Amino acid sequence: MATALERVTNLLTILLETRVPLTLRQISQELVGMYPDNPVALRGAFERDKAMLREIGVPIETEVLGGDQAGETAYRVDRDRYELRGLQLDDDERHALQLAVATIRSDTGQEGVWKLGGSVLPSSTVVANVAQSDALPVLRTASAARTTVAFRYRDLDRRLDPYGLLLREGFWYVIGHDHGHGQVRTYRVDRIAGAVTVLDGQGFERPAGFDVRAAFPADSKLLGEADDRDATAEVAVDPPLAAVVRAELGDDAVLRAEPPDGPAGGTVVFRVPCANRDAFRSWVLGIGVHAEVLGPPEVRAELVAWLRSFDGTGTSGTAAGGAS
Amino acid sequence: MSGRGGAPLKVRVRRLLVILPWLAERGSASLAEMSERFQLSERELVADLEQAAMCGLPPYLDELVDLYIDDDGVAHLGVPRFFVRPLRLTAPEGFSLLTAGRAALAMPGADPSGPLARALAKLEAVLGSDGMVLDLAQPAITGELVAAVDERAEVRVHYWSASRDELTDRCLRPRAVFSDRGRWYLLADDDRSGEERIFRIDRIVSCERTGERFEPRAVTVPTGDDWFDDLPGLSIATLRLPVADRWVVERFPVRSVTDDGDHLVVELPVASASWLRELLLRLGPATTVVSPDDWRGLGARAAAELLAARYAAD
Repeated sequence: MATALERVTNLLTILLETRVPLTLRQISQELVGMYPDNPVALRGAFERDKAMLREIGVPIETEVLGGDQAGETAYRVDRDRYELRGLQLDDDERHALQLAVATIRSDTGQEGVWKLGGSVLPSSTVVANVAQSDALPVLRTASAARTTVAFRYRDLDRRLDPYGLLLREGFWYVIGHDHGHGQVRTYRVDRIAGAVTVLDGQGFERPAGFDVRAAFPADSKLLGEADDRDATAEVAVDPPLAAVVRAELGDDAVLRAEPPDGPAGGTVVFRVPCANRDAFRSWVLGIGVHAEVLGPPEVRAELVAWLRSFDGTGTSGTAAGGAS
Repeated sequence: MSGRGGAPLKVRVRRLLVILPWLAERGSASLAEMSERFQLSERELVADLEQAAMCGLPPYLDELVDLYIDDDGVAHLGVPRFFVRPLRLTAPEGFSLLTAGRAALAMPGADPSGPLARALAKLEAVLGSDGMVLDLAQPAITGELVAAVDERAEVRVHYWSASRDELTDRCLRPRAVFSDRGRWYLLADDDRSGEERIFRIDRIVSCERTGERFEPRAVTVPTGDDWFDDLPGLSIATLRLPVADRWVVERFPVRSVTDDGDHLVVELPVASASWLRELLLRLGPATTVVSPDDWRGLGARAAAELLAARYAAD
């Protein structure tokens, strides 16, 4: 009896070799002694091998035959679709990709580098841990192939033309035309429930010049449904945290700075986007006692109401979850 | 499953379909080189190659994989009829290569028209244009720190220490820069503690070189959910929070999460009380601390203190 590795390699060989699709009966006749004789056991063993080959990316095609073999399923692998072609990397390009894979952690990057003829380099001194999930490669491929996808999100079934994917602040988003809403929507990929289904045959066109960055608010404090995207608040930050906030928001956000009265500098007043109040509140509370919302009055009042809601009277009016 | 190689059949088949084209292109290669390159033991490699050599079907019994291993430990492969080219990239492989390439291109100091950019353009030509963007926005000081790592240059920094709630002045030997969950960190030897520490780059207020150089040392850049656990003085807090605040679980490493319908009960590693105070302020009164007892009511105390300090007149 041949080993499993031999059997699978031989199976792949005859599927690549054949010009016409082969039925399981023909396959078992070719692979003499490699599969069980019992038809049920044969079908079971073959299905396992087929599933495994598909999992590693072998494009096995199926066809239901007519004529005197009517109803039987036949199988083959199209060599043009099997082989990696059209990717001629120069040595320096391959090396650059190897370096890149060393900066991102994933199980599949290494396999990809091998297929390109490279080897994996030791971990670099700059490393990005980028969130991975099973849905991401499916969405990327659908986006590249311009194929509509279906998935479940917040207890609703969605149909989306995925225009693009964006990694921002550690989270992946898929952005595209939502069939149900009839407009462009953004979804957090890690909140998709279950698998993403590719609706083969349902294509779409991506609008010319579409840019996921432009379709996505630049600052999480701008995120949300707010009409007033330009809303800003004045926030005073004490030294020495003022320097930290200044590094984060940039000099353009500085409204005024008090003269330094020590090595750490003085209090700085910043103009901070606050269209998304949840995100804004979360941000300003992250600075704790070192920051104070000066205005506008309604934004300050909202923050005070939030803080007062902690007093245990249970009259919290805004206990909804905020953005991170 | 065939047991000889140890690895599952799927792994062995996938590996073989990578090794054969690579070897076919070269004609021969030493077992030592191949085992290092493809990260398997020589024993596993020989087992797989020997089995591949036995593959063959009538009428081309000998032609399929014409392979032998000589006495010097060199494998020779005649030009095969099959497996001349590697299998196409799978969706996850393509995704990994593209994300790695685009992330690297977004790093400080990357050359937007260099070999990496050209490699990516070629990959996109094969894998399709996907509108995928990785935004790995870094604090402005990141580039300087990466350069310090590469040049093994000691730096003096002002660092906002959240646990002490003060600005500290320290000398660092930068070992690695990494990002996790959208934030950038510096791994460095810290003169204050005499230990390797992790610093949030957005809290480094200033940085200048001391002029000192240091010797390289291998470091492990942390990843996943466990790195937070290494911090000294770590405590575990159990919080009960509304399911709408699930972002806490996604944003911070957690020990455990249980879902009781409306609420999540989360065991959260906490490096400092001041960090937990801020988190509770952000979450609001609907979140409660279950344990430890010391931190029950911490959110309400923090809110009262902040009101008294900043908004007493409102």
